Amino acid sequence: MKKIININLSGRLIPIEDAAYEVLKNYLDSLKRHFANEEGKDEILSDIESRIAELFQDKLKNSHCITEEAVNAVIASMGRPEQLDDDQILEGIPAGTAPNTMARPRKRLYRDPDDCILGGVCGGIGAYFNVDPIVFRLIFALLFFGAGTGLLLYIILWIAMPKAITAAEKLEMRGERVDLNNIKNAVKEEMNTVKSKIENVGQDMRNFSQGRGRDLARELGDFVRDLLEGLGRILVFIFKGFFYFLAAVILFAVVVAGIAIAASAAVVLPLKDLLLAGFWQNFLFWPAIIFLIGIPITACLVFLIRRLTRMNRSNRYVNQILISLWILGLVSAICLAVSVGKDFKIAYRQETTSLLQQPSKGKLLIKKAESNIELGAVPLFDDVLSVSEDTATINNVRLDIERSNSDSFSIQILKSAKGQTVSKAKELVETIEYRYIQDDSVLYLPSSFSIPRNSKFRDQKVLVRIRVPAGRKIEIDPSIARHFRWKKDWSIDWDYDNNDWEGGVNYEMTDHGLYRTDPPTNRTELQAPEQPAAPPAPAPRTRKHLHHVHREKNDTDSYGTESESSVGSEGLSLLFESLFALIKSAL
Amino acid sequence: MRKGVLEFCILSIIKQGEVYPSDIIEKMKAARLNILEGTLYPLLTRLKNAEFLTYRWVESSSGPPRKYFSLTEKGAAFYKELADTWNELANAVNQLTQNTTSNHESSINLNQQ
Repeated sequence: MKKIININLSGRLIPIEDAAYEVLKNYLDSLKRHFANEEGKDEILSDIESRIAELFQDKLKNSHCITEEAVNAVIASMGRPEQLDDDQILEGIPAGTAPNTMARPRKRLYRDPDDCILGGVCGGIGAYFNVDPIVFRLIFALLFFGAGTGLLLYIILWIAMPKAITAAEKLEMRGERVDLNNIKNAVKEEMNTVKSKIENVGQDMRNFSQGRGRDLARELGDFVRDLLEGLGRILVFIFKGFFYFLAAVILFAVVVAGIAIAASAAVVLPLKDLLLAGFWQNFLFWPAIIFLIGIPITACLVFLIRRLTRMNRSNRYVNQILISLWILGLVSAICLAVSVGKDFKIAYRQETTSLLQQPSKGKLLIKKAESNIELGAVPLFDDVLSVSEDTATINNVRLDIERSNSDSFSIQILKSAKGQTVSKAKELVETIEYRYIQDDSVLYLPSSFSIPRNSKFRDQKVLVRIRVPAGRKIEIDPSIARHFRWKKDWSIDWDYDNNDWEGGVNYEMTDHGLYRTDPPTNRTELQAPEQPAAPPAPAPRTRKHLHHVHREKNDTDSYGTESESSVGSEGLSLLFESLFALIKSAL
Repeated sequence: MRKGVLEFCILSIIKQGEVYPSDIIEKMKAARLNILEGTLYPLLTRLKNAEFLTYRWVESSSGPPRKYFSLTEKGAAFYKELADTWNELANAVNQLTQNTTSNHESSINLNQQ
């Protein structure tokens, strides 16, 4: 029994068998795809359709309807899409014979969803090399115990290999030629396996019910097998769940990071103006940031979306473009880092010494001045840098105390900055604004200095050196101890070191350095309280420190070039530091 | 190359008078030059788009109107070009194949001697 339907083909009424209609429709669709890029494809298709209609009409003179056979005959005389390639036009292929000259089928690596335990990677590889997938599964399992490389490799392959979803893809996976017949066969095969599976299940169930009373042992065996299968399924389920969980976590992180980055644009922009000088640095900045950070985020998102929507069509061109853009971003970032690094090449230092008002009680108390950071300023780098509308405030002030040669207190302020040339560094130094206030015995020191907003951040630093005459006392307020970066050695490194002195304690300057006159709270390294009258030899560290200070004491105006090797690395580390700060503020 | 030959054949058939695509197929089959009909339609459309061909609709007794193709002036010029090229090629091929056969024969003769 066959169903016959009537179709309108190019204005003619054609009675056609249902099955034949399917074949014809598939054929016309395949032609449509074949000519999709051709100019005037509609015309070509309508010409072909009307020709087919004409052929059918001839056929209908002898029979009452169009059969599958008739359709196949017409298709053979018209040619299948793959036969219509330009190279084969005059091959002299006689109508009606299947072409044997077809190029060998292209094989492609797909993940096999029909033969999978996790993602079908091994199944796909097996199909590709025509080897039992168990071989690859064993290899991956062994590699997994080799420090987990198998897992990593598997995940990468899972990402890289598209899943064979359509029948055409499954054929490509196995390396068979893709045409309508083969697709039909593949579908049929699939239907048959499903059918046989169902039949097997039915058989099993029948066997089970029949053998129930008779064969207890077999029943037990089945039970064990089912149990193992169930366990395996649970394991697979857990694994799959884990992977999807991972994907979801990544997606969440990416979305949060994206929002945060968008929100922190307000932070990035002032930073950019402070850090970058000149046309090229500003020009390189955007590709560096957008491509270097944006591309991986985009790629992650694209991947996740593909996974979540189960759309595995990865476009090769898109990937190539993304990769080249990322490399462009990387190159821009390197150029930018080198260029910024050059701006940190030469250090320039300016020193000004002035006498302090001599405290009436012979003891100087150093306190932190009110913060000069404006309200609403944007803090960056752990509050080291604050940016407001017209100034940038840099919290990079250190305090040093040494013995005065004269018998009066004096203060020396060392301002330093870096630049590509001495004159540029000098210009920057001159814009540093640092003011202290003295009120008799109390010296108020701000914990930060400011530079004009349009100036650039080039490692500006301020060192305040208080010179205390021998026999005079000094106390450093805990507020200072907290907020200042106490200096150990100006010339060698600028590391945080506030172990030397404690805040809120009285110290007295002796010929050999500072000694605390208050009993120590928990430190015993200084023996001053035990022998206050005759100070013993100072601790080695203190002496060393003094030595350095004396050596440099007479400098009033000096500059120096930092070693070459530190130039690029400093620029890079600065860039990384800013990136870290960005990420930190973003999260 | 082959494509050029096919175009040459089709243009020469059309040159002999207005034809309908099925006629072209028939004529080519008669000359034992089998082509798939599916290749003909795109080719005709391409030639038409290149303004070598033009067509008009002709009512047919058995169904909807048919497209009858004829050569344009431009098409005639193109045909002449193709014909020249073909003649040159044919001459060259003939000359070469005849020469090699005669050489071959003479070498055989030499061997026999």
